[in-house]
Amino acid sequence: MADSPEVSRYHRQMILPTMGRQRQEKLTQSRVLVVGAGALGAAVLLYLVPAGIGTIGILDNDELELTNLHRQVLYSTEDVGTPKVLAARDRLEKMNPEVSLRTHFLRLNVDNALDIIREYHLVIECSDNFPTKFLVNDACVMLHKPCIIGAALGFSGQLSVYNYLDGPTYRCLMPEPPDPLTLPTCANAGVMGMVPGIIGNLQALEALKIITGQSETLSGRLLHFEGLETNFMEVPIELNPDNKKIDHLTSYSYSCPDYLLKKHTVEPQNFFPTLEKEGPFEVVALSDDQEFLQIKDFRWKTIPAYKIPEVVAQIPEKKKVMLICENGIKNFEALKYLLMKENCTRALALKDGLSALRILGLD
Amino acid sequence: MKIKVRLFATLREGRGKEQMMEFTDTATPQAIFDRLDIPSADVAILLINGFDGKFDQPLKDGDTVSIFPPVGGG
Repeated sequence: MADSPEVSRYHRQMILPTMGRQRQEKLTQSRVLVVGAGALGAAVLLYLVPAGIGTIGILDNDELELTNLHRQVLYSTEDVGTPKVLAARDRLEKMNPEVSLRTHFLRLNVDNALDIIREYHLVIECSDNFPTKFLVNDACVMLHKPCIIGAALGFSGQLSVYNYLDGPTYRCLMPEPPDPLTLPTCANAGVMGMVPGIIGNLQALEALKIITGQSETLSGRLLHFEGLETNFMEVPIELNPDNKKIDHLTSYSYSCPDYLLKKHTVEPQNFFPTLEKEGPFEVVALSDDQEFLQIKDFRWKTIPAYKIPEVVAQIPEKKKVMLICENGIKNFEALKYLLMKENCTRALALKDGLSALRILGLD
Repeated sequence: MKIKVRLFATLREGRGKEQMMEFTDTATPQAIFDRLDIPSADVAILLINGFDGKFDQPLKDGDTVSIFPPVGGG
């Protein structure tokens, strides 16, 4: 590294007594995987790439949407519609060409997690869902690698270091993931951009300390942040040794057989006849941001998807449930949830949503 | 007995962040969830005086109970 431009680039962090040339070289030799290139991932990457990590893997299966831009500060308006991993790589390459960036344009699952994570020393978990957080934790336990799991919602956020040395795992904080459909998410409950920014920065700092071998990390302590009060609180996490005994990966993403989905799906042209002839139906309209869904003379008040179990439980047993949404995505997820998790066989979902009815001129 | 109840993240919506609550001497954290209409599935972390607590653990006068929901966004 002597006399190279790297010395100048990293000079101000290298002159820190707790860093120095040797620790900078540890950064250069390290390989870090960032799972999720959303708001947390953007903050992590914006600080780890300039710091001179040798290899950074960026894993994400989404394309950038306009609604991401207020918090996913790595991206620009012109990136909308582009896979996040590609937009991230383009921006980060310019920030620091010394760093080797690898992109994984996929969703982590039980079949690929071990092979991907095996290539890295450390995982920074920045996804927006519990199934992925548990998958990363379990794979890291099996491969004996530390992971830093962060989360943010509304004005709140939290992070900790898991499976580091003799420390606890994510399952010591939460033994099993909560049901995905019943949870508020950033998409339906909102999030203030600065909060994942703060949590992501702290994740990057913990990563730097683990790589350079600084002794005091967040292992064994969950750091919880309340943004409205600007308050940090620590929650102790104790190791349950049973949580280190993981010998296989578990998928928590619920899947539903195609034949069953097909049986409970209503083609757009059959929507009104089905409502008229095969009822009585209670129509459940799903949306995170529209108060009502309307078509013809019908007007339905909407609910967010996570309220589905409680709303459906209140519908009298003799009624069937017709799930609708604007484009057919949310009601399909809700249908899968009701069929697989609640064994609710009286539920039907409108294929492709109300937009399909409009395309067919049925409005 | 009097219990100090502290709520975090989305559990604060419509419930506030901290309150003193009066219970009979046999109360457990479940009684707090019931009174505040917090479904068990919404409780990811339960602390009694800063340490991991159980839903059916008997509470004592002056205890502080902290309740966190699952936070999974990113």
